[in-house]
Amino acid sequence: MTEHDLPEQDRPSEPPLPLLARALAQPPKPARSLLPGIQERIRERTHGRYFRRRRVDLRNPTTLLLGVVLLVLVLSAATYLVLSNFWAAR
Amino acid sequence: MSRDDKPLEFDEAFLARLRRHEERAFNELVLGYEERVHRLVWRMLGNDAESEDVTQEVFVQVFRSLESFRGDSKLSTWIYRIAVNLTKNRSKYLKRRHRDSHGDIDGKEPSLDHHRAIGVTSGETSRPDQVAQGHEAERVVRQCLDLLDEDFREILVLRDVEGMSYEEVGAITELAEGTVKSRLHRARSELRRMVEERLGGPLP
Repeated sequence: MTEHDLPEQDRPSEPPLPLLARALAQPPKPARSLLPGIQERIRERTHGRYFRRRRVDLRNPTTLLLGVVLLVLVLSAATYLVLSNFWAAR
Repeated sequence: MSRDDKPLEFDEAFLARLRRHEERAFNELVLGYEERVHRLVWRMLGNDAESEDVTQEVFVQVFRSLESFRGDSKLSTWIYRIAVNLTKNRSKYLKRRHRDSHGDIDGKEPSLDHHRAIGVTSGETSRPDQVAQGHEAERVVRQCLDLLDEDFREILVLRDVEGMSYEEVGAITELAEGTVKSRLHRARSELRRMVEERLGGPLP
Protein backbone atom coordinates (compact mmCIF):
# COMPACT_ATOMS: atom_id res chain seq x y z
CA MET A 1 0.00 0.00 0.00
CA THR A 2 1.41 3.41 -0.90
CA GLU A 3 0.88 6.66 0.93
CA HIS A 4 -1.73 7.62 -1.63
CA ASP A 5 -3.87 4.56 -0.93
CA LEU A 6 -4.49 5.50 2.66
CA PRO A 7 -7.15 8.15 3.37
CA GLU A 8 -5.57 11.06 5.18
CA GLN A 9 -7.80 10.83 8.25
CA ASP A 10 -6.93 7.13 8.64
CA ARG A 11 -3.22 7.64 8.67
CA PRO A 12 -1.75 7.20 12.13
CA SER A 13 -0.02 10.34 13.28
CA GLU A 14 3.60 9.99 14.21
CA PRO A 15 4.79 12.76 16.54
CA PRO A 16 7.93 14.66 15.61
CA LEU A 17 11.16 13.58 17.20
CA PRO A 18 12.20 16.41 19.59
CA LEU A 19 15.78 15.21 19.39
CA LEU A 20 15.88 16.05 15.70
CA ALA A 21 15.19 19.75 16.10
CA ARG A 22 17.61 19.92 19.00
CA ALA A 23 20.34 18.08 17.13
CA LEU A 24 20.18 20.56 14.24
CA ALA A 25 19.44 23.64 16.31
CA GLN A 26 22.71 25.45 15.82
CA PRO A 27 24.18 25.21 12.36
CA PRO A 28 27.49 26.97 11.89
CA LYS A 29 27.37 30.43 10.38
CA PRO A 30 29.66 31.06 7.43
CA ALA A 31 32.75 32.94 8.62
CA ARG A 32 32.03 35.73 6.15
CA SER A 33 29.30 36.75 3.75
CA LEU A 34 28.99 34.50 0.74
CA LEU A 35 28.14 37.49 -1.46
CA PRO A 36 31.63 38.10 -2.91
CA GLY A 37 31.89 34.44 -3.91
CA ILE A 38 28.45 34.54 -5.50
CA GLN A 39 29.33 37.70 -7.43
CA GLU A 40 32.56 36.09 -8.60
CA ARG A 41 30.71 33.04 -9.92
CA ILE A 42 28.16 35.18 -11.73
CA ARG A 43 30.95 37.34 -13.17
CA GLU A 44 32.72 34.26 -14.51
CA ARG A 45 29.61 32.61 -15.92
CA THR A 46 28.32 35.73 -17.62
CA HIS A 47 31.80 36.49 -18.98
CA GLY A 48 31.97 39.72 -17.04
CA ARG A 49 28.59 41.04 -18.07
CA TYR A 50 27.49 41.35 -14.45
CA PHE A 51 29.41 42.29 -11.32
CA ARG A 52 32.40 43.68 -13.17
CA ARG A 53 35.15 45.01 -10.95
CA ARG A 54 34.61 48.67 -11.63
CA ARG A 55 34.26 50.25 -8.23
CA VAL A 56 37.02 50.87 -5.76
CA ASP A 57 36.13 49.05 -2.61
CA LEU A 58 37.34 51.10 0.34
CA ARG A 59 36.72 48.21 2.70
CA ASN A 60 39.40 46.23 0.94
CA PRO A 61 42.54 46.36 3.17
CA THR A 62 44.89 46.65 0.19
CA THR A 63 42.94 49.56 -1.25
CA LEU A 64 42.85 51.21 2.14
CA LEU A 65 46.61 50.79 2.63
CA LEU A 66 47.38 52.19 -0.81
CA GLY A 67 45.11 55.14 -0.09
CA VAL A 68 46.87 55.90 3.20
CA VAL A 69 50.33 55.61 1.61
CA LEU A 70 49.27 57.93 -1.21
CA LEU A 71 47.86 60.44 1.26
CA VAL A 72 51.07 60.42 3.32
CA LEU A 73 53.14 60.97 0.16
CA VAL A 74 50.98 63.88 -0.95
CA LEU A 75 51.11 65.48 2.50
CA SER A 76 54.89 65.02 2.68
CA ALA A 77 55.37 66.59 -0.73
CA ALA A 78 53.13 69.51 0.18
CA THR A 79 54.97 70.03 3.50
CA TYR A 80 58.31 69.89 1.72
CA LEU A 81 57.19 72.48 -0.83
CA VAL A 82 55.83 74.84 1.81
CA LEU A 83 58.89 74.51 4.00
CA SER A 84 61.35 74.85 1.12
CA ASN A 85 59.59 78.05 -0.01
CA PHE A 86 59.60 79.29 3.55
CA TRP A 87 63.34 78.69 4.01
CA ALA A 88 64.11 80.13 0.57
CA ALA A 89 62.22 83.29 1.46
CA ARG A 90 64.31 83.73 4.61
CA MET B 1 11.87 29.51 7.49
CA SER B 2 12.43 29.15 11.20
CA ARG B 3 9.88 30.25 13.66
CA ASP B 4 12.14 33.03 14.87
CA ASP B 5 12.71 34.49 11.40
CA LYS B 6 10.68 37.37 10.18
CA PRO B 7 9.72 36.84 6.55
CA LEU B 8 11.41 39.36 4.30
CA GLU B 9 8.98 41.53 2.38
CA PHE B 10 9.85 42.58 -1.13
CA ASP B 11 7.50 44.72 -3.17
CA GLU B 12 6.79 44.61 -6.89
CA ALA B 13 9.26 47.42 -7.58
CA PHE B 14 12.01 45.39 -5.97
CA LEU B 15 11.05 42.30 -7.97
CA ALA B 16 11.15 44.38 -11.15
CA ARG B 17 14.67 45.52 -10.25
CA LEU B 18 15.65 41.91 -9.67
CA ARG B 19 14.21 40.82 -13.01
CA ARG B 20 16.27 43.54 -14.70
CA HIS B 21 19.31 41.97 -13.03
CA GLU B 22 20.03 45.12 -11.11
CA GLU B 23 23.12 44.26 -9.15
CA ARG B 24 22.33 46.32 -6.07
CA ALA B 25 18.90 44.70 -5.73
CA PHE B 26 20.43 41.25 -6.10
CA ASN B 27 23.02 42.05 -3.44
CA GLU B 28 20.20 43.02 -1.06
CA LEU B 29 18.45 39.77 -1.80
CA VAL B 30 21.57 37.71 -1.10
CA LEU B 31 22.32 39.56 2.13
CA GLY B 32 18.73 39.05 3.25
CA TYR B 33 18.59 35.35 2.49
CA GLU B 34 22.10 33.91 2.57
CA GLU B 35 21.97 32.92 6.23
CA ARG B 36 18.55 31.29 5.95
CA VAL B 37 19.46 29.42 2.79
CA HIS B 38 22.79 28.31 4.22
CA ARG B 39 21.07 27.05 7.36
CA LEU B 40 18.54 25.05 5.36
CA VAL B 41 21.20 23.60 3.08
CA TRP B 42 23.44 22.68 6.01
CA ARG B 43 20.59 20.97 7.80
CA MET B 44 19.86 18.89 4.74
CA LEU B 45 23.46 18.25 3.75
CA GLY B 46 25.41 18.36 6.99
CA ASN B 47 28.72 19.32 5.47
CA ASP B 48 30.17 22.78 6.10
CA ALA B 49 32.21 23.24 2.92
CA GLU B 50 29.62 21.65 0.66
CA SER B 51 26.86 23.72 2.28
CA GLU B 52 28.66 26.98 1.52
CA ASP B 53 29.29 25.85 -2.03
CA VAL B 54 25.66 24.81 -2.58
CA THR B 55 24.40 28.05 -1.04
CA GLN B 56 26.48 30.04 -3.49
CA GLU B 57 25.17 27.90 -6.35
CA VAL B 58 21.61 28.53 -5.17
CA PHE B 59 22.04 32.28 -5.58
CA VAL B 60 23.78 31.89 -8.93
CA GLN B 61 20.80 29.82 -10.07
CA VAL B 62 18.41 32.43 -8.62
CA PHE B 63 20.23 35.17 -10.54
CA ARG B 64 20.05 33.21 -13.79
CA SER B 65 16.38 32.33 -13.37
CA LEU B 66 15.06 35.65 -12.12
CA GLU B 67 13.54 36.56 -15.47
CA SER B 68 11.41 33.44 -15.37
CA PHE B 69 10.11 34.10 -11.85
CA ARG B 70 6.48 34.98 -12.48
CA GLY B 71 5.44 35.51 -8.90
CA ASP B 72 3.08 32.49 -8.74
CA SER B 73 4.62 31.70 -5.38
CA LYS B 74 6.36 33.85 -2.82
CA LEU B 75 9.93 34.78 -3.66
CA SER B 76 11.15 33.02 -0.52
CA THR B 77 9.31 29.82 -1.51
CA TRP B 78 10.88 29.96 -4.95
CA ILE B 79 14.37 30.44 -3.49
CA TYR B 80 13.89 27.60 -0.99
CA ARG B 81 12.64 25.34 -3.81
CA ILE B 82 15.85 25.99 -5.74
CA ALA B 83 17.86 25.41 -2.55
CA VAL B 84 16.12 22.12 -1.78
CA ASN B 85 16.50 20.81 -5.32
CA LEU B 86 20.17 21.71 -5.60
CA THR B 87 20.85 20.26 -2.16
CA LYS B 88 19.14 16.98 -3.03
CA ASN B 89 21.15 16.74 -6.22
CA ARG B 90 24.38 17.42 -4.36
CA SER B 91 23.48 14.90 -1.69
CA LYS B 92 22.87 12.21 -4.31
CA TYR B 93 26.14 13.08 -6.01
CA LEU B 94 28.08 12.88 -2.74
CA LYS B 95 26.53 9.53 -1.86
CA ARG B 96 27.34 8.20 -5.32
CA ARG B 97 30.92 9.42 -5.04
CA HIS B 98 31.22 7.92 -1.56
CA ARG B 99 29.87 4.61 -2.85
CA ASP B 100 32.16 4.65 -5.87
CA SER B 101 35.22 5.36 -3.78
CA HIS B 102 34.34 2.69 -1.19
CA GLY B 103 33.10 -0.05 -3.47
CA ASP B 104 29.71 -0.28 -1.81
CA ILE B 105 27.48 1.89 0.25
CA ASP B 106 27.68 0.68 3.79
CA GLY B 107 25.87 3.74 5.02
CA LYS B 108 27.76 3.73 8.26
CA GLU B 109 30.21 6.54 7.96
CA PRO B 110 29.21 9.33 5.59
CA SER B 111 31.76 12.13 5.79
CA LEU B 112 29.39 14.72 7.12
CA ASP B 113 29.98 17.52 9.59
CA HIS B 114 26.59 17.06 11.24
CA HIS B 115 28.38 14.65 13.52
CA ARG B 116 30.38 17.34 15.22
CA ALA B 117 27.56 19.88 15.43
CA ILE B 118 26.71 21.04 18.90
CA GLY B 119 23.13 20.66 19.92
CA VAL B 120 21.44 21.81 23.08
CA THR B 121 20.43 18.55 24.71
CA SER B 122 23.56 18.58 26.80
CA GLY B 123 22.66 22.00 28.15
CA GLU B 124 19.47 20.66 29.68
CA THR B 125 21.25 18.21 31.91
CA SER B 126 23.96 18.69 34.44
CA ARG B 127 25.45 15.32 35.24
CA PRO B 128 28.44 14.42 33.06
CA ASP B 129 26.98 11.03 32.14
CA GLN B 130 23.73 12.70 31.05
CA VAL B 131 25.67 15.27 29.04
CA ALA B 132 27.52 12.46 27.32
CA GLN B 133 24.26 10.62 26.66
CA GLY B 134 22.74 13.81 25.22
CA HIS B 135 25.67 14.30 22.87
CA GLU B 136 25.54 10.66 21.84
CA ALA B 137 21.79 10.75 21.17
CA GLU B 138 22.14 13.89 19.04
CA ARG B 139 25.04 12.38 17.15
CA VAL B 140 22.98 9.27 16.44
CA VAL B 141 20.01 11.34 15.26
CA ARG B 142 22.22 13.32 12.88
CA GLN B 143 23.82 10.15 11.60
CA CYS B 144 20.43 8.54 10.98
CA LEU B 145 19.16 11.67 9.26
CA ASP B 146 22.13 11.52 6.90
CA LEU B 147 21.25 7.93 6.05
CA LEU B 148 17.60 8.66 5.32
CA ASP B 149 16.24 8.92 1.82
CA GLU B 150 16.59 12.49 0.45
CA ASP B 151 12.82 12.89 0.11
CA PHE B 152 12.33 11.96 3.76
CA ARG B 153 15.15 14.15 4.97
CA GLU B 154 13.86 17.11 2.99
CA ILE B 155 10.41 16.90 4.53
CA LEU B 156 11.69 16.37 8.08
CA VAL B 157 14.02 19.36 7.88
CA LEU B 158 11.41 21.66 6.35
CA ARG B 159 8.64 20.73 8.75
CA ASP B 160 10.21 19.55 12.01
CA VAL B 161 13.41 21.60 12.05
CA GLU B 162 12.64 24.73 10.02
CA GLY B 163 9.10 24.79 11.40
CA MET B 164 7.33 25.49 8.11
CA SER B 165 3.61 24.95 7.65
CA TYR B 166 2.28 22.04 5.57
CA GLU B 167 1.29 24.58 2.95
CA GLU B 168 4.81 26.02 2.74
CA VAL B 169 6.37 22.57 2.63
CA GLY B 170 3.96 21.59 -0.13
CA ALA B 171 4.78 24.72 -2.11
CA ILE B 172 8.51 24.14 -1.82
CA THR B 173 8.45 20.42 -2.57
CA GLU B 174 5.61 20.76 -5.13
CA LEU B 175 3.65 18.03 -3.34
CA ALA B 176 0.00 17.97 -2.35
CA GLU B 177 -0.64 18.64 1.31
CA GLY B 178 -1.92 15.09 1.90
CA THR B 179 1.23 13.67 0.38
CA VAL B 180 3.34 15.94 2.58
CA LYS B 181 1.54 14.66 5.67
CA SER B 182 1.80 11.00 4.81
CA ARG B 183 5.43 11.30 3.73
CA LEU B 184 6.18 13.15 6.94
CA HIS B 185 4.56 10.37 8.92
CA ARG B 186 6.67 7.75 7.18
CA ALA B 187 9.83 9.84 7.52
CA ARG B 188 9.30 10.30 11.27
CA SER B 189 8.59 6.59 11.73
CA GLU B 190 11.66 5.61 9.78
CA LEU B 191 13.90 8.03 11.64
CA ARG B 192 12.53 6.92 15.00
CA ARG B 193 13.06 3.27 14.08
CA MET B 194 16.65 3.90 13.02
CA VAL B 195 17.48 5.95 16.11
CA GLU B 196 15.89 3.44 18.49
CA GLU B 197 17.74 0.62 16.78
CA ARG B 198 21.06 2.37 17.29
CA LEU B 199 20.39 3.56 20.82
CA GLY B 200 19.08 0.13 21.76
CA GLY B 201 15.76 1.21 23.23
CA PRO B 202 12.54 3.13 22.68
CA LEU B 203 12.62 6.92 22.66
CA PRO B 204 10.25 8.87 24.92
